[in-house]
Amino acid sequence: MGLMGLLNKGSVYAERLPGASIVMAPVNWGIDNAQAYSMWYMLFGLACCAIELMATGSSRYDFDRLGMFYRASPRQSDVMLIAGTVTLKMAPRVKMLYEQMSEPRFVVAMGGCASNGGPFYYDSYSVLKGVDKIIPVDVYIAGCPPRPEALLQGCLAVQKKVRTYKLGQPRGAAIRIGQEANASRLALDNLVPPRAFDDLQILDIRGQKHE
Amino acid sequence: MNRDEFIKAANQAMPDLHAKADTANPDAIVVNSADLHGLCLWMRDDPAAQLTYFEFVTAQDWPDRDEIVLVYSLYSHPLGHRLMVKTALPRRDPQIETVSDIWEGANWSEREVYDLFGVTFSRHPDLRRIMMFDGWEGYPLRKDYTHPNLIHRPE
Repeated sequence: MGLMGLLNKGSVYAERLPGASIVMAPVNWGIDNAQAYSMWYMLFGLACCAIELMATGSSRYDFDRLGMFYRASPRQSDVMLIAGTVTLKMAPRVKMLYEQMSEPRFVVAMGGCASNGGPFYYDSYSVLKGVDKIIPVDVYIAGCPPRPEALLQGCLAVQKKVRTYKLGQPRGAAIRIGQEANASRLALDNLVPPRAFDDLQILDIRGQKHE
Repeated sequence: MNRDEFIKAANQAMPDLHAKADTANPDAIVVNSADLHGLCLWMRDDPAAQLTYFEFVTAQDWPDRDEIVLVYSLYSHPLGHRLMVKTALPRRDPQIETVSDIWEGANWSEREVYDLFGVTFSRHPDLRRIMMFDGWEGYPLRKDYTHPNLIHRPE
């Protein structure tokens, strides 16, 4: 396909000038894609969702192919993955860390707890019933915890928002990743599927296949 | 040393103790709250008891009996036996002497009981809330606790 094909795939004005390899494209297109494919996320594991977050970051699901790397500092991160239960004690810290991030900044509420309190909605005195009570949320992901596929779909949704987001303008409505995303991987057809365990052969020390 | 031997030895060492066997728990003894500190000191240092390891202290709230029952769990690494000590406090203004001077590990455990049940440990070096943040009102694990954030699950 090559670069020209890639550019023409999007709604981009690209032209090969006669006698030279010059491509013309809107600056916005470059900036938007550069931002969308470098969404560094703040590592913010608060509960068991963080385990799924770690699984998504590991080689089997591989956040890196979306250009997502974790940062330990809010000042270096573009997106905040709220992975877990936000207690009332933690809530001021979450808000403070969000305020330390620089624009454009995005928030993903991962799982039931971060979305609306989840299993702690009833009969709990100490859990914040949804992180959107203190900071604006761009993408909600259902699940308890969500599967890595659902989290990846949520991150793709963030990328979609990044491409359309203009600084200083109101951002679009929050995207909700529903239950069906947990049930199937079909939503991620455009991603390389993780290698199945069936493909793996366990070899012993002499290189023989293990029975 | 099993529970009944404990009771016998402790009552022999401290004639005013009147330790009794607990009816609910086969490992537990019941003492008066005023005697607890002296008993703990004896249990740690007595060669036959050697309860040198403080596992935890927790509490039970009994509104109908108007009591808060403290439960201390102790273990002996040298001798491999375990003992639980129960003591009842009045629900209104429950106070007891700290055992954090006997076992250092009791410090945070007692803070937790103070935080969630409102039991005041006198002579405690650093009695602050540990789970809930400063300025929290009420003691969440009491049975009659309510909070504006609390939504009861519909039947």
